[in-house]
Amino acid sequence: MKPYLLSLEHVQKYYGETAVLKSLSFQLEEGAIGCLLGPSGCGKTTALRTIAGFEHIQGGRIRIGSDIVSSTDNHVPPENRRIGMVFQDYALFPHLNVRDNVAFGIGKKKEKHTRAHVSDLIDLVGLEAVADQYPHELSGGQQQRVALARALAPNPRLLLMDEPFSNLDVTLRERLSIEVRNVLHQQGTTAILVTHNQSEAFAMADQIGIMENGELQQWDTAYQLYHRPQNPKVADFVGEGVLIDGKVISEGQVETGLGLLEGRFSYPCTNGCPAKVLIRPEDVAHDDDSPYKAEILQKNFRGPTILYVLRLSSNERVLSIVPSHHDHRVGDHIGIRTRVEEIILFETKAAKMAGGLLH
Amino acid sequence: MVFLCVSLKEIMIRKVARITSIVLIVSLVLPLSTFANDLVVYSARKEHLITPIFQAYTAKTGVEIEFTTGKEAALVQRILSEGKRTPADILITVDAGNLWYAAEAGILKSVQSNTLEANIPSHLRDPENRWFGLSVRARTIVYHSGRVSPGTLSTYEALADPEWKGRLILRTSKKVYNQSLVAMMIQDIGLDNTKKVISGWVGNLAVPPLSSDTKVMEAIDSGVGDVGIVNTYYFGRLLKKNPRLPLKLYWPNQETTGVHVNVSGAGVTSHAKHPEAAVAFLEWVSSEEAQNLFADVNMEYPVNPQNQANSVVQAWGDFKANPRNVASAGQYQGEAIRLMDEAGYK
Amino acid sequence: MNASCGDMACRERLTFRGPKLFRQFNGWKVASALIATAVLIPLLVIFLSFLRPETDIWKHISEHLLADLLRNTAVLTAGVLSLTAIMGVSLAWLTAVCEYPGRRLFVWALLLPMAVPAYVMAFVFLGVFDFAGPVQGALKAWLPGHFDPVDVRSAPGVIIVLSLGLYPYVYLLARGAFLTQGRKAMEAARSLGCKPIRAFFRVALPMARPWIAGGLMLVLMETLADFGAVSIFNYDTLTTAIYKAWFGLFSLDAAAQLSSILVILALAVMLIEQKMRSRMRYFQTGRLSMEEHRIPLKGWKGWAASLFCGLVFIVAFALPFLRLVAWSLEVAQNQLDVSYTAEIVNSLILAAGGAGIICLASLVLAYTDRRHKDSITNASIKIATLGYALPGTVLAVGLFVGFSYVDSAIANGLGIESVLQGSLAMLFIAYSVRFLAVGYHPASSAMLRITPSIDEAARSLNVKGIKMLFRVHIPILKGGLFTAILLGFVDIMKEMPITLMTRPFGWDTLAVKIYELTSEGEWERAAIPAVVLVLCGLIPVILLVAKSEKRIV
Repeated sequence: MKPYLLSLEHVQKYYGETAVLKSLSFQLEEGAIGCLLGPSGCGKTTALRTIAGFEHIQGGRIRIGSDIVSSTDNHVPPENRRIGMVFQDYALFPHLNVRDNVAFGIGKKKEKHTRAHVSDLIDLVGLEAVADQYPHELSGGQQQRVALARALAPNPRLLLMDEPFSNLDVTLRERLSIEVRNVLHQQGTTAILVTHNQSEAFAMADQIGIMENGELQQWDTAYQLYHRPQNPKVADFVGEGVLIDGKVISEGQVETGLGLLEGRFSYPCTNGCPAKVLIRPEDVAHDDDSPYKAEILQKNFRGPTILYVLRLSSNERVLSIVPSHHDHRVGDHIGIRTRVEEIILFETKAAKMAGGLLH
Repeated sequence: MVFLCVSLKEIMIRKVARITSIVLIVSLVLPLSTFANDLVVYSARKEHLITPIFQAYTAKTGVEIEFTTGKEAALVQRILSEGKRTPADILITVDAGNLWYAAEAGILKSVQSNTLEANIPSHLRDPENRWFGLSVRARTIVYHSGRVSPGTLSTYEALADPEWKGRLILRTSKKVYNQSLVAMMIQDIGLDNTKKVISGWVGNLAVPPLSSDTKVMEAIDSGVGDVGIVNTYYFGRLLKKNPRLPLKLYWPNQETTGVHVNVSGAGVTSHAKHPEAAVAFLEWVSSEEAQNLFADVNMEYPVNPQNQANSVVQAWGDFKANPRNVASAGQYQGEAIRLMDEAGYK
Repeated sequence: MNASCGDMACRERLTFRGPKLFRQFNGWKVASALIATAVLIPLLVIFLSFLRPETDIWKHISEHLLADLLRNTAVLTAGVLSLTAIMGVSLAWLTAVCEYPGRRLFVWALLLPMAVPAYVMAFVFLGVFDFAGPVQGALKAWLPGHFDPVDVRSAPGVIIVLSLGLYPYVYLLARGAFLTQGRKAMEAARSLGCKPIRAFFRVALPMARPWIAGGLMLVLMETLADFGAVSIFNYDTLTTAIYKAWFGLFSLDAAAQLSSILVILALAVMLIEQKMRSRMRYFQTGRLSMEEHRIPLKGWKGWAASLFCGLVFIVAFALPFLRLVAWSLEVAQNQLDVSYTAEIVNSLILAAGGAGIICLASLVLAYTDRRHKDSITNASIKIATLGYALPGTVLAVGLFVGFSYVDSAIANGLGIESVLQGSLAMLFIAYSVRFLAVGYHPASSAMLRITPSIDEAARSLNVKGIKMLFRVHIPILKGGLFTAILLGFVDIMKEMPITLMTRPFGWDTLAVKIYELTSEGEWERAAIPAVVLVLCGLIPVILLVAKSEKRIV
């Protein structure tokens, strides 16, 4: 395993009486791209700014490499942390052209190798053609790339990105997020970004943390977050899907509104215990022959597929994603069948359980 | 990378430090030059009225004079706060009220000089010889020769009579010349009578008080009013500009107290660095030789009885002046201002 | 958006704090506090005067004068503020947003009245319009027997004269606001169906409010402090009472006590303005140019706009200037010694040096304000900009008394001759104390428009402190700082009472010359230095225009 480049240990941050970060902990390996994902106000930007050093912390520690950069009695100023930062509004210097913006953080502009380095970065982000233009003459995507190149120029140990693509349109956002990921991997740069956009997080990051109310719910790979959510909150936030009531019959068997589900349990459960079962849209297949019928409440045409919102006889709702040839009307009753291999379920009597699962 | 930035920062700081030190050095060195002179004068009399006399004195004696001008009370305050460090040897100012105030403030010292006492009549200098009048100005009545017969004029006080209703034009009561005039009047005829006179004046005004003596005369010339009170040299200046000016001077109070006169004068400062040179200069200015040079440049009257006013000034006629010591104008100045405020004289 | 991004309340906490010791002893904070101290000294002298109550004088003033003075002062300030607001904003709007014949010319021509000191404007105005002036003379000749002389020395007269000289402050700041931040919002408003005129009142005007308020603040303070123009009109205000107390009643203490009313008034207005401003944040969103998007005024509307601008220019600048030139020519025929070389050089040196120092101090204050949102900094800035509302003479004496005291203490302590007194340093300090507000307003408005993330970007790239100031803020602020220097320059050129009291030997300026001649009633002779003063004052005004033409037109 590679060494951790970034490590947060029980970081706490308050604004007055309000806790913005409550004991935040995670680690990021060198060369990896991490992401903090969560809704507005979850504390993810604050977390980023404490890592950058723009905010002081009131508890815990932050390490970059082997250095403790933040703790309650030590605070390395941002400029001494060897970090790079890409701001949500890019914060480009309006009085400098692209080249000078990129060169800003590097000492002697006139030296040959510096010039070459800057040119390389500009090439890397594909801005050769506009290198002598000023920020206000560039498009949003171009400004974003300048911001990235500028942050990378001093060879930071860690790159921080605050909602880096939120000001861009969807297609550009997807294209750029892949480009940026490639650039970062090419450079071997460790990076961490914050966003509220899942697809951006999935496209960019190796490790993703789901944040809510200043707490990290889960720190994991995209696959794990989707398929092994550790608590109902993560399950609810990541991907589509609903939690329905169920009752554990025995190991591998749970009784739900969709009938008896059989499969491998992700987490051990006590027999006879009531539970919440995560049902993803792809878990519910359309099958005209199935005895289980459900009423279509809503439909959402997505091109290759249709996402149906269905009402079960138990009055619970589930989602189903089906090939778009199976076009039914709202109000129709259609046959459904489950196809689960692994059952994600959470015991409901379980404030303690959610806590237990985290560690 | 870090060390590169550090050196850049150093360069920047060095640059700032250099500029700052240049500014500091330049501004610190400059005032030193002021102490290299033979005589230093603070003057409330305007530069163009004193430069000729300084030049003449330097030409005659080789004494270099450094001077600065300013407003009367401000210069007094300046000398006060400079205390014993003051570079000023002499304070020149206009109006006995200001001279009185300077003496009261304790910034002038008593000077024993037989020459000064001989050259300057006693009512035109401080009883304790802290200041000396150097030229005399008369504040008198001016009238429109076409619309006013001089026979109808008699005294300042009579301008309060109803016959002048809507015909009188005055300068603002904020000017020290009017304050001195009223201060003297208070002593001559008493507070109550003066109050009546001022109220009468205000009632007779053709327009609210004007900001200068010249404006007063221009207003009379253009028919807004018929009669006013001005210093003679303003009349002289206007006449020089417009020889056909239909205005004439009248010498009032010839049967009673005499025409109100005032002085511009000077004193030696308490902490003078060159007290002998200062006294020598004042003696020279009061001498027959220099008196006309000092007075004529502003069309004033010399203080030295040996000297005659210049011919233009003499042409306005002889008059009896108020013999009361001008120092008392200062003493009663506050009272005069209050009285004028109460009477609504703006 | 996340709670902490872009939210100013949180940004305020981002300020980096080093080890605890440095939190208290930050260089910027110390510098700001020092600047404030320079202003505090004269203020202290003024307020300490209350230790020596002048009961008699106060009784007299309150019984016989105060009501009138307050009413006059209120009428004057209300009048001048309204008139300058109307003129400044409408002219700024026309030249920034509309297109009509002669607009390019008016852009700079309308700034020129700034170079004419209020006292010069006043004596020229009276010279032209009062009883003996050519206008009434002509009317009298034209209508013999039917024309009654009119006294123009009324409240409206004073208001007009002051407004003609002061509207450029509002014009300058409002125009900048309309140019840099008006377009996007205007377009949004028009897309929502607003007609241009409605969009102006609903969007552009409210958005420009902090800048207009900044301009009006300067106007208000100038008006409160004016002595020259009101005394020429013999219009009694608080300032004239201050002069009467000192020069007539020989009580500096009473004068200082009266001045404290002005200080308190200025402070109150400043707090109100700040409260108004604090609820709004304005950042520049890119450099948008109005250029290709001006609203063309067609037909009579265009000509009406030209006529309006032309009229203001003629009345506020062309006529008074030509009158001065005519007087100068008359005088030059009889007066041989008409060269004012020494005074010109002195005026230029003092104005340039003073403006530089004002610019530096404004920058320090604006930067400290950006970095340190604490009560000490806030108070420092408030105090530092108070000097503008004080009559120059009172401030001069406060400075003189205060610094003499400090000076003696230092000199006695070190056993040397005086350090500050009679030096240029003293004069420069006095200028900065008086005119810091003029430089601070443009500098801080410009600073406000730099988003906080710019600072963070620089710091994340290991550029901080002085270096950040030089590499990031100053280049971005160039425009605002330039304005600060030029406004300071023009104001110092025109300044009289402080120069008169504080200048070292031999540093007579054009303004001093004008004072000496006018106070002797020599209006015509004062015309020559006045013309030269206006011409020198034009240099920075033209530079200012050239700058704004290049950048924004």
